[in-house]
Amino acid sequence: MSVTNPELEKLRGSFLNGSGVSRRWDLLLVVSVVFVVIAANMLIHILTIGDWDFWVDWKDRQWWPTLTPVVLIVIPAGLQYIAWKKLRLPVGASIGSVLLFLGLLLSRTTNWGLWTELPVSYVMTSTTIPAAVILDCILLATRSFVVTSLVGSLAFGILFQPMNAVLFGAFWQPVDFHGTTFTLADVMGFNYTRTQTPIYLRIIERGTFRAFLEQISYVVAIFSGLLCIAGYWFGQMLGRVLAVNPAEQFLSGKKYLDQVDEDPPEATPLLVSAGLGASS
Amino acid sequence: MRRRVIRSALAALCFSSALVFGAGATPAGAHGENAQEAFLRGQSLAWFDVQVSKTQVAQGETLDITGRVRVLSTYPSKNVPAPEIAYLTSNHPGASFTVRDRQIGGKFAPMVLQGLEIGATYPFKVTLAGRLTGNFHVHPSIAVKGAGQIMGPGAWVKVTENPEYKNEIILASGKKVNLENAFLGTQIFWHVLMLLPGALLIAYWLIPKPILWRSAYVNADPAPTGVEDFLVSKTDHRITYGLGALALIVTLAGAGYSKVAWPKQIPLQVRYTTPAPDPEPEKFIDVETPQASFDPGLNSLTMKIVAKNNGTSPATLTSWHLASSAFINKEIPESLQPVMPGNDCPAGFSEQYCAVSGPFYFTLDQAAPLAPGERRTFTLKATSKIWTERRLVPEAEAQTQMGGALRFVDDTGKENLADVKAELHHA
Repeated sequence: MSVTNPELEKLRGSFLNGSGVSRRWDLLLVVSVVFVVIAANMLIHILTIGDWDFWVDWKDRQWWPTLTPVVLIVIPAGLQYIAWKKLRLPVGASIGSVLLFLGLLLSRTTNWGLWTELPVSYVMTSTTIPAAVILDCILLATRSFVVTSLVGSLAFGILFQPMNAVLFGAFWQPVDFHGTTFTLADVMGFNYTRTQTPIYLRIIERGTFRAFLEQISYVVAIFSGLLCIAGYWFGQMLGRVLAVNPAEQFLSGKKYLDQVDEDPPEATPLLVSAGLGASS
Repeated sequence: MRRRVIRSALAALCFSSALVFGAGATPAGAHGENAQEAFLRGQSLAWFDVQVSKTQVAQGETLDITGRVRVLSTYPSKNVPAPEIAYLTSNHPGASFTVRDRQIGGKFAPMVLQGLEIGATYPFKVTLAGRLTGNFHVHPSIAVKGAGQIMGPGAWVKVTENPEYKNEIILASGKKVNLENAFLGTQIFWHVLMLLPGALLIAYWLIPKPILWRSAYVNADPAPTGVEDFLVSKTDHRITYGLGALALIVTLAGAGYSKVAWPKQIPLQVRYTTPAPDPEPEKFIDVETPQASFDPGLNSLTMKIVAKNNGTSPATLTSWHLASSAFINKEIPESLQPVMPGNDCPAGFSEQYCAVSGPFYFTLDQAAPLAPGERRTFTLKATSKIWTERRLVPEAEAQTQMGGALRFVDDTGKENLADVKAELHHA
């Protein structure tokens, strides 16, 4: 549909003429977002899935793909909510996943590769970037958070194993080690021993008498996808409570005006500065 | 003002850089064991005959840590969990060594130990290979689930450079892999491929298009007609879906490559080892240790020992093994002295790291061997600053009791180990 609305044309003109919100503010926003999102991602990553997404010999078929995507969808979901709801940008999830990946990569190569001198492939991070791009695509196609949460989050969980199979599949190859069959990952865990983390602390698949355990990867993928739906809504709630609501309050000036017992303005300062608002 | 801000920022950067890079890190010579409560260390495990086969190795060259570890009959099961689940390892700074083999009770112990028996003694061997160059303090140690790590005696080992160092292993498929950079190239390549759709999507939406400015349209109330198409055009849709398709293709291609390149994959493995203890020798010594006292001014500990020799040949108290330390009877001939790891201190290291290295001695008020059938009360006295430096005396702890094990050897070479639990009386 061609844009003929004079109001929109006026806005387009105000931007192209350099009035309104300048690109400097965009840059400031981007720089702030990079650090805040990396920090938030790293915090939630370390506090929740820590070892599972850290050591190659913790990346099993059961716990790692069940829990990791559930945690790693939280910040992307929050960012997706903010970016779409307030800026109509369908890239929030991708930003979250890419920044998490870059932060983790920086940490693994410097802290653990350069300073602790562990083999980087032993502590290589997983990825969720392709799933995040697909999550953004689904939101753009459906323009619905509900459908995105049901379809996109499910895909996010299900795709976690295929995405990472190529990164870690080589480490699940068998090795005959002292007469025992291990995976290459197990041998690395044995070789580069974690002296303060005894092996009995490792929580990985140990086997049960339950049915379908031969197809554990499929069961885990579906279950993880379902959990991701909850993770997605939790992330959205964080985005709303921690970012969108405070920003709306700030931009409307309501918080401050309430204090002096005056009526809130009809148009937000940002809209006015952009030449648009209810009063214009 | 602006210049001042820049100057201050530069000064802060220089200061923090100087702190990080200039101050230098002191070498780690301890592993936190002295912070553990003395009575728990003393009453849980005792280490005997610990030896480190080499004090200098090249990168990739192996050395053995061998010895015996005893789960004392005084094991404080009321305070910490019994050693049902445990882990034998070597304690060394970071990845300075790689572990090549671990044996306990004659069995390969790759992972979890289960069912260590209280009152039993286990021979062990840990084989390490040098990895990082430098001087490193290595200890054998056993971690007990729910309790923590209990460290054995340590020794300094120097690792020298080997330009041809590799840590290679042969897969079941016959392919040789260097663990130092195993499949790193593959990981980097595929990570870049997976990053690509995300990075392109972000670049497409954020670089040419304004960001904050869009909020004016989105939040306009009422929204101008056609605002949605204005903000997200058909081209935007096409490009975004294209990148989504690329993401899906990369994912499926990666999964497919994994199946083709490494067709044989198995789950991560778990192993439990139940080690067999050394057979307990026939008991010929009965020991009671009713009390001990410590004089912090003199760093001197005395312990009353009541011992009876039920054997047929004279027996001598050779040593007292306590936590990661051992005290040797000063009067005994060299042939009876227990084996201890070397105490060579690396050149250039301050006393801070080496002063507490042994050997440490005790004296007895009646030094003669215990004759067959004899019951004797005698006093052991050990004076050393190790008592305070290694915090071996539980003076201010919930159980003020000394622990460890006394080693008696008779004239035929037979050994008895007697576990100690002595009330500590404050002088």
